[in-house]
Amino acid sequence: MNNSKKSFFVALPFIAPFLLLILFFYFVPVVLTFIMSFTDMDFSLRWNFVGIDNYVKLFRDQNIGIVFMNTIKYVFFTLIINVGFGFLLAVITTYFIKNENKGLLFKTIWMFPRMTPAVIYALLWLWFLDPTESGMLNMLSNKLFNLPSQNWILNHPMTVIVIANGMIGASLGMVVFSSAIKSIPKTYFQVASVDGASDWGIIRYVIIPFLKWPLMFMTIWQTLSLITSYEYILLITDGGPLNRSEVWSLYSYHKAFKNYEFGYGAAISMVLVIIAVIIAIIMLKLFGYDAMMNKNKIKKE
Amino acid sequence: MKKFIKQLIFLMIITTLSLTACKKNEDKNADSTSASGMEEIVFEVESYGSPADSTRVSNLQEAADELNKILEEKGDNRRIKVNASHVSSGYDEYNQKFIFAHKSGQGADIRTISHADIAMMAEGEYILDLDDYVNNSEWSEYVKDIYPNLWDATKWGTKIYGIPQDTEARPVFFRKDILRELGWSEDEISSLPERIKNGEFTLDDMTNLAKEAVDKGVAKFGIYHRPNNGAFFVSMIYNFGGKLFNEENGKLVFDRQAIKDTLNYFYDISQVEKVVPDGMTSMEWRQIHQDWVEGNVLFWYGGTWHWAEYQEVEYHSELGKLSEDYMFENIGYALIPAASKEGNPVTLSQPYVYVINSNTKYPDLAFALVAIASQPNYNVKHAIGSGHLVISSTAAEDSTYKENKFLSDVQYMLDYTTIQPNHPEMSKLTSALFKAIQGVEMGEYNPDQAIEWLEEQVKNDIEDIEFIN
Repeated sequence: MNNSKKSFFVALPFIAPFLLLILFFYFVPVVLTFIMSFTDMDFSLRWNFVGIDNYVKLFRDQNIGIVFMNTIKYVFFTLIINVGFGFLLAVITTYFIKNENKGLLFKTIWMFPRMTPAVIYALLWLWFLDPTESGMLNMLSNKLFNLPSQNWILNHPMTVIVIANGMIGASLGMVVFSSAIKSIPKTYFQVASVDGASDWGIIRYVIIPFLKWPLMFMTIWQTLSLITSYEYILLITDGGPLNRSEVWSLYSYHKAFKNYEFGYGAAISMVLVIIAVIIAIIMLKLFGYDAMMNKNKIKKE
Repeated sequence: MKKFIKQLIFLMIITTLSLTACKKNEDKNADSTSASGMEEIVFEVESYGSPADSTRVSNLQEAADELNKILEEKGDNRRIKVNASHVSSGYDEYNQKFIFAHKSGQGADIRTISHADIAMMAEGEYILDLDDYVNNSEWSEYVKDIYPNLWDATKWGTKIYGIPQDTEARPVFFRKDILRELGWSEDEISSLPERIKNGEFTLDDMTNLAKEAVDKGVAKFGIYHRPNNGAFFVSMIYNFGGKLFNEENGKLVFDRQAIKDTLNYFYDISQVEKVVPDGMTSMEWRQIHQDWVEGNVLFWYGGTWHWAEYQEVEYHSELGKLSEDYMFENIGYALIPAASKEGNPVTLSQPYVYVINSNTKYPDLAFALVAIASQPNYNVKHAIGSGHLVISSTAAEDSTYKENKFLSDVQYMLDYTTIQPNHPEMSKLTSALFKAIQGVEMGEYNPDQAIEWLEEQVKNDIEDIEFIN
C-alpha cells in the first residue's frame, strides 16, 4: 500500500462521519432532486417520468425573469452588507477599539440576531416595520422627520429583505475578519505607524492584503448561502407583494410546497445547483484559490 | 495492515451503532390489551380553524365516551381513546404534515379539512372512500339527516370521501355605528340586509357608500377583505356570473369575462375609489380584525365564524373580547350585494368535512366515531360556539340552535350559497387569481394587463383547463 493510500485509510475513521453527513444530506438529496425534476410529482407523491417537460415549462414561465432579477439583486446587495459591513465592524471592534472588553461587548451585541431563532428575528422585523402609527420605524420617522406612516414591506420589499439578511450575515463576517485581524503580527502595524501610515493606509496596505483568504472564503460562502437561503424572505415578505421579493430558491419552495408541484420545484432547484457550482468555480478562479492554499507566508517570531 | 483492519472494525462498530439507533416506527393505532381483556385503540384526530373551532376535535373526544358505551352494550371488547390536536395557523402546513406522514404509514386517523381539498386527498389516496359506510353500515342512521347539498361537497367523482362537519356563509358585515354617523335612521339600517337580498342595493351602491364614509371622515377605510388567497375571491367571480367548473367533462373553466369583471371591481375599489387600502393584500390578519372591531372600517367581507371569534379573541384594544350585545348594537350582516340590479346577491360556503386516513387500522370505528359526533347535540354545540351553521335538518330544529339569534338570522343565506368546485388543481387557479387581484389592488396592473398575466399563468400551471369568453 503506498503512502497516500495509507494516509487516506488512517484518516478515514476521522472524516467518515462528515463524509457520511455530506453523502446523506447533500449528494443523496441532489441526486433525488435531479431524478425528481424529470417527473410530474404532485400531491400524490408519485414518480411519473415526463422527460424534460419541467425544464421546458421553466423557460416558458413568465415569472422566471423577475425571479431571476430579484435573485441577482438580493444576492449582490446582501453580499455587500455581509462582507463589506462585516469587514467594517471587524475593523472598528478589533483595530480601532483597542480595549478588548469593549470590542467584545460590541461584537456580542452584533451577534444577538444570530443567536435568535429565525422566526423570532423575522417577527422583530415585522413589528419594527409595522405599517400602522404604532410601528417602531413609523414612530421614529414621524418623530424625527415628521413623515407620515407608511407600509415599508409593501413599498420596499427588496430593501427590507436585503437589510434583514445583511444585518444577520454581517455578524458572521465580523467574527471571521476579527479573528483574522488578530492573527496579523503586531509588528506590521508598528512598522506601518513608524513609517507614518495613516489608519486608512494601514487598512488598505496591511489589513486587506492579509485578509484576502478570509475575504475570499466569506464572499464564496455567503454567495452560495444567499443563493439557496430563503427563510427570512419567507417569514418577512413571503416573496411578495406580487413576486417583488420572490427569489429563485423561494420560488422553488412555493412551487413544491404551495402548489404541490414537486417535480417542477425540483427542476427549478436543479438550475440553482448548477448556477451555484458555476459561481463557486468562477470565484475560486478570481480569488486565485491555488495560490491561497500555498504555505502561510506570515512567519511568526 | 493490522492497523488498517483495526480501523476498519472501529468504523464498522460506529456505523452499526448509528444504524441501530434508528428506531423502527411504531405501529399505527398501537393498541394494548389489558388484563380484563379490553383492547384500547388510540385515535389521533386533528382539526384546523380559529380557536373557537376546537369543538371540531373536542366533539370527537366526547363522542368516544358514547361510542365506548355502545361497544360495551354490544359486547365488543374494543375501547376508543382519542388524542386531539387543534391547529389555528398555517392550513397549507397542516395538510403538508399529513401528506408526508401518510407516506410513512402515519398521520392522524381522523382530520377535518376544507371540502375544497377532498379531490386532492382522494386522488392521492390519502383518505378512505366512505360510500359504503355512509349508505350501508350500522352507523348510516347517524348521518342520514345531513343536508344533501353538503354531501355533494364531499364527493370526488361520484364517491363520498368525507362527512360534513359544519358549514357557514360569507356575509358582508357592516358597522351600524358608522351608518348612524352618516345620518342613517334605525329603520334604514335594519332594512339594509333585506334590500341587499332583494337586489335593490348593489355592489356599486356599497362602493359609493363606503366612499361617502371615507370622504366624510367617519371611517378610516370603506371596505376590508381577507388579505390572502381564499374562497371569498371565488364568490366574487360567481357574483359576476362566472363559472369555474364544467361538470360534463370534469375540467376547470377560465371564464374570461367574469374574471375580468372581478378584477375590474377590485381595481375600482382600491385604485379608483380608494375605499380599500392598496396594501390590503399585505395586511396582517390581526390588524384587519382590530381595525374592524374598533369601528375604523364600514364594510368587512368576513365569515359567519367571525361572529364567534370576536367574542373569543381580544382584538379590541380597549374592550378586549366583544360582548354579543355590543355586536348586535354596532354590527350588521347581509349577503354580498349583487353585482348589478338584475343580479342576485351571493355568498359562499366552504363546508369543513371529517375525513378518515386510508392508513387507519380501524376504519369502522373511525367512521362510527365521526357518525356519532355528527349528531345534533354535538353539531349544535360546535355551531353556536364557533359561528358556523349546522349540517342537518334535525340539528336546525334544535331548540338551543333556534334560540341563537345570529345563527337564525343568517340561516337564510344558505339559500343563496355557492361552493367551490372539487378539483385537485383548483388551488392553483385560486392562487393565481389572488396574485392577479393583488396586482390590480397595488396598481401594478390594470385589469387588462392582469387578465393577460393571469391567463398566461394559468396556462403554465394547469395542464387541462377550458377557456371561455
